[in-house]
Amino acid sequence: MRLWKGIHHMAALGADTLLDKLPFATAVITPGRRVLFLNRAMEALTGFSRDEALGLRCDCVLRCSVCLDDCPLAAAGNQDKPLSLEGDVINRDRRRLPVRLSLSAVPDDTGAPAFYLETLEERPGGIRPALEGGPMSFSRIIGRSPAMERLFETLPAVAQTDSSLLITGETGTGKDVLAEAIHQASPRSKGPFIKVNCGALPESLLESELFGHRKGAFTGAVKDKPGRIQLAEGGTLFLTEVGDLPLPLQVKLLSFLDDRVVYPLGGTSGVVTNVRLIAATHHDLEAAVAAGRFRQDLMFRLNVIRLHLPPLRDRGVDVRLLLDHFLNVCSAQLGKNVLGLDERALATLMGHPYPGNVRELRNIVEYACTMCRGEQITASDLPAYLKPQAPAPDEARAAEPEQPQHGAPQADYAELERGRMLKALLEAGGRKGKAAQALGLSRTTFWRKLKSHGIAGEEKP
Amino acid sequence: MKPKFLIAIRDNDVAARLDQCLEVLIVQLDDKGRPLSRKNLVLAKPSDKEICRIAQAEGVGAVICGAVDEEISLYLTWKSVQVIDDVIGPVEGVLRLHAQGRLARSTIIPDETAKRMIQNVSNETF
Repeated sequence: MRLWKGIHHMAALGADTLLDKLPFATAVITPGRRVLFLNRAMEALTGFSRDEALGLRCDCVLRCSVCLDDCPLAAAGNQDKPLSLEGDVINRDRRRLPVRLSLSAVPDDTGAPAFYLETLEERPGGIRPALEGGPMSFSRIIGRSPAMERLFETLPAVAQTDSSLLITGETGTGKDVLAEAIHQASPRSKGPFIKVNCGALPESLLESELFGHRKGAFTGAVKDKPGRIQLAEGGTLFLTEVGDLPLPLQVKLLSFLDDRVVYPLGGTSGVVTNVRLIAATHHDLEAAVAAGRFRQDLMFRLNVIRLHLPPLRDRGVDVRLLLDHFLNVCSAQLGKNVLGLDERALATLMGHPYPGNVRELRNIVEYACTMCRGEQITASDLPAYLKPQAPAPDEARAAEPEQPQHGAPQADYAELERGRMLKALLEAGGRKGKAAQALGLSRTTFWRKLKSHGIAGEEKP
Repeated sequence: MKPKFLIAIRDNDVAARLDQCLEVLIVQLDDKGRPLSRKNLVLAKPSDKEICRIAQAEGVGAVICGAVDEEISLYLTWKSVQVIDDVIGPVEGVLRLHAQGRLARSTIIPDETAKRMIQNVSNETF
């Protein structure tokens, strides 16, 4: 009976609408540990719709490590203050997300818990505490070059505004990382950060993804579905590769930026939203406008604030800084004790132009850490396309043929890694465990790399 | 004889997460879908990697569970073990569906409490 009192209480308050407006992923749980309601943000986080989740055990829907270790509901019922715990959830997309869980009991007339409000707040994962704050960093972005220092000076102010933001920069410069960092530093950080890749979906699908649809809008639209813009309510919508947005959708986005009202496909009424827009592109938008591929008025609306991430070749001292940083990170991730680089390897890396920017540098360091068998990375541990033309005799142990200095670096890198793995497999007589051990990799890492190189194991048809 | 399959369980239900599961049930069915054998194994501590090892050692053809990490799912698939994850419901109901060849990813079997709540809430203007 207490449960139904709770439902009536919620309905009377119009709580479902109210909860949908909250920027936190929130679930209403009954004292019997059943899900009564999920707000929009919680639907986005877990992947369950509120209809699917209704009546299910809360641990099966939220899948939070905290709930499964020791259910916190009992503790929350015995104290006035909300309970706050840290853990992780695995959502329906099989993604593991670090979260902060807050739980508070909502009492009925008798003082007993009528239901519980459980909120999950995503914690930014993988940030090394030593890199947070300080004059040379902004969240996960580090640098001490003049170009980056100028950027860092503007970021706190940019984060505090609600203005639309356009991030430009070559591929691999960290546009996505910057967008997320700005969201995390903004007053909207408690709200969702929803990313949409405008170049990854066909036009018809992208429209439905962005703006949502109403039941019956098209074949297969069996129920209302909120778009990503609505899911970002109270938070930030990040449109990456905005330069690839089809022209008809540019018009619709323009209309949304004008009045902040979303019109779902097949809907007659609009939904007012409170979303900050960040867009990013590696294209030259001015050139795209001149070529008629991008609307000038949309560019003006996105371009309220523009941040440009300089390419790594223009960041001077940052190469060394990032090199050391990625060395620490990769060494820890791979469970190795790599302490540094020898002179030749360092000279090679410092002299490389990095067409793939920070991403390329990170890949190189990860590769070198993987291949390194000692405490110091040597030139022979570097990808083939980086190696000096005349290697020292002790570096000639690499079985792979030398690759040209320039060309298709990513392809060469993958090819060399594949070659080494095949060689290790051959030497181990096909035993993957032994091959992984010889390369200094864990079995799962070795397996993952095998898979990415298409060296398939026995698969069922 | 059909290949064995493994269900990650918690009490009488499918465990909500494979990495937090402390008990697995390994079942072998005959050609008509009747259980030939069933074996419960209790783990010393929750570990999805240990369950992967058990699945391979026992030669199971499918792992049925609630939430599973992407990497573990890909690893099992690579090892020719089918992963039927995102399953919610009582073990016996899941067993029955699997024996009938009707169990798929994201299957939800609501129990009596859930059915009652769905019925009652649909009658409300909530």
